[in-house]
Amino acid sequence: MSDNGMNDFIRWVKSKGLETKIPTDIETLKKLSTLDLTKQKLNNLPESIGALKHLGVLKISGNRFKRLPESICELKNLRNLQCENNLLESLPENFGNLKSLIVLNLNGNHLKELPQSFYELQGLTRLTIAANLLQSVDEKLKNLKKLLYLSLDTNELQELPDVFGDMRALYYLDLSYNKLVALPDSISEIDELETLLLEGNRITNLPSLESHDMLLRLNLNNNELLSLDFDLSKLEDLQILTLDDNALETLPDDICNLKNLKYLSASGNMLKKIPECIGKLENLVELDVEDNLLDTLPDSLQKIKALKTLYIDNNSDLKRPKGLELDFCDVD
Amino acid sequence: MNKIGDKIICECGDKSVDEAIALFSETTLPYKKAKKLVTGCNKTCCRRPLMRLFDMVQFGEIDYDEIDFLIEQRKIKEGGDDE
Repeated sequence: MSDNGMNDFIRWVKSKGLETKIPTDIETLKKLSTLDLTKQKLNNLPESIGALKHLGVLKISGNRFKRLPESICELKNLRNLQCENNLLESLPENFGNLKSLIVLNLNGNHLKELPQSFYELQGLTRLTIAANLLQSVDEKLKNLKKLLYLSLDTNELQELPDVFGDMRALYYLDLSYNKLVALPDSISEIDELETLLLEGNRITNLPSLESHDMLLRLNLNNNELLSLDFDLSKLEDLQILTLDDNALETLPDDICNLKNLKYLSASGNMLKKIPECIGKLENLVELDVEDNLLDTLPDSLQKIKALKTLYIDNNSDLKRPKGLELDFCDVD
Repeated sequence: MNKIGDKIICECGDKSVDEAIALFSETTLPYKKAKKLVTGCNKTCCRRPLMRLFDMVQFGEIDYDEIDFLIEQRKIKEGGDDE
């Protein structure tokens, strides 16, 4: 291990006045496993950080880094890198050398692309690159087979390659706020998916999501959906379904078979009626159909004893329904 | 007066950070409804700074620097109003 590199790092710590955050004793530094430099208003990290060979957790979120030093790729024991809300425009070419990485958070940077070596990070289980400027991801993303949690929301993605076929354990997938018009077929192969967030895209046609029988939460808000053309009742575990701000004229009757549904939101559509069978949703706690074209509510709504919150404002003069013990309704 | 508090958090609604904090503090509505009090529209504009500010108000501690960062970051995105 290079004492020169370590001494350089100590000098950097002192120059930044970080002695209270980071030990400056060389023997302690050699064993340092966690370094937290969150929100220190730093503009750069020194190359000497590569001398901290035992570092397992590095937290550098909330600074002003435009780049990371190449030497960061030498941190072979790094398992968790938190680098949210910086100004990163690129990652080091050898970023994929961080073979021990399990958790990586790059949210809120300015990344337009990822280096090819990135897709060698096959140990990753949690990857978040939300709120960047990514225009594409490589099909090699499929190499990240251990992913449990993947967030690519708020980027510039217009399409996604078919990468999900081997991500059998993925339980959380957030693709919200991109420019997707369609989804890759392999999405249906993610066996364990519990949360699928597709809000704020340009999706007109959904692939069948019927295979996702473990799905708990599905968010399709702010797309361009005219209808839901698959059997929703197959999503038998679904608890939260949000369809706000699409162009739906009807909700399919299948929806009434979602016995575990607790939250149903379809505000900002063109609904003229709600399925009469809605009363079968005995676990429904909240219903939001604000901003539609409804002039009546189905009588069966009164059967839903669990219903506590109802949003029905901005329809055709709907009144608060009688016979329900609501905690909140947005009209009288 | 905090300078960042005076900053417009979202062009939709033209409310400052401090005005948004006041509106979020006074409502019991969930975020998806409360945001309309600030933006005055049904769009999903200014989502990251607004949602983060809402969370901070709920938590009871405002990090103005982080909100400032998120406002500036949004402007970098093309259009900046449809995030």
